[in-house]
Amino acid sequence: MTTSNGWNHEDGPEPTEEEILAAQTLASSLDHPQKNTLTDTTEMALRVRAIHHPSSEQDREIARRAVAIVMAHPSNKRWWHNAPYLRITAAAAVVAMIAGALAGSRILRDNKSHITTSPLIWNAAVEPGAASAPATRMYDHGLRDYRATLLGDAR
Amino acid sequence: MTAQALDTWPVFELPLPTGVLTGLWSALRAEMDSPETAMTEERELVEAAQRGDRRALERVLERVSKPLYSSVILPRIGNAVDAEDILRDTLVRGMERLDTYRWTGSGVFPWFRQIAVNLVIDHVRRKQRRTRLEDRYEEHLSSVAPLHHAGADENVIEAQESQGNRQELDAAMGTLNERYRRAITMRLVEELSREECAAALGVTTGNFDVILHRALAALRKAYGTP
Repeated sequence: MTTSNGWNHEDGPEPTEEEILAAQTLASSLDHPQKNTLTDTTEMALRVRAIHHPSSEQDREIARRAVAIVMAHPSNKRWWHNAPYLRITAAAAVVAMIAGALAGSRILRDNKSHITTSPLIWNAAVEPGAASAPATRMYDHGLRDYRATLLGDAR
Repeated sequence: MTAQALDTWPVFELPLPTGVLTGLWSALRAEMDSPETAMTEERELVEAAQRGDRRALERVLERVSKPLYSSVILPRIGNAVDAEDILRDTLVRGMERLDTYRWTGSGVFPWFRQIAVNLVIDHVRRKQRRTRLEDRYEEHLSSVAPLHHAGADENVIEAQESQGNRQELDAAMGTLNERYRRAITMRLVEELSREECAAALGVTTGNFDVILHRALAALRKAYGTP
């Protein structure tokens, strides 16, 4: 049984205006699919097409383009790509530290402002009955240095 | 060298070369084309890529990108623009996580395939179209089984993926009523014009559009039913 617009009721209830509009949108977007106008039914139709009619050359071109874009992606520059530079930098830093430590120790040794050799007094054996002698000798040692500094070895 | 001298050139007088060389070439090609060789080659390529060899990485991506797009992503999305975006995201994610990949006998494609299916699910969620269709994708994810050996040719992978896709689609189509099935088959599989389809169904072109719209809505529901 058909209605005046030719609708066959065996195909279900007569379509509403809204449904007719959606069907027209589907028909036109199947011919010219555009991302913004794709409805769920259009996408379903495109899936059926993709399964039955894979567009080999077009798909290959898309795949090739994707690989080219991805290879230029910043995340492609993984850490190990920079590893040679990192290694060189690290080795240079270690060499610089060792050289710095050596140079520093030499400068410190040359510029020392104190006597590093222990006066003999500290190593002298303590003799019986001479308890005050080490202190006196220490005083004499200091006095001798003082005189040598001020008077120039005029002892 | 005269023409006569050329005629007597020793090489041309040897009876062996053509047959021997052909035999050697055939043996070499057979060796090169054997699954073991292809598998070894793919494994070496992947391991080189994991060590940071850019050329190897590019070749790995070239191997998987076409089958991913045409057999995995596009049949599940339909929309070519979104499918291309998802392909790129799949390749980037795969590239970033390649060092976590552990070699299996089925090669690297199933690993990329899982990433792609995950991204398809994410895409559907982002569009806030949670339907049973999505559950279907999640089933795919859990049931990803390697159909082919490592180093398989791109055409072999695509053929096997396409076969699976068609079987699922055919199963869904089988649940539709006859007129809906005919509408979809004529318009989308046989690619007849709207007018031809309408004439075949004995309706106006406008009414055919409505039938096709209803048929696709029904198919979309059926395709999401396990």
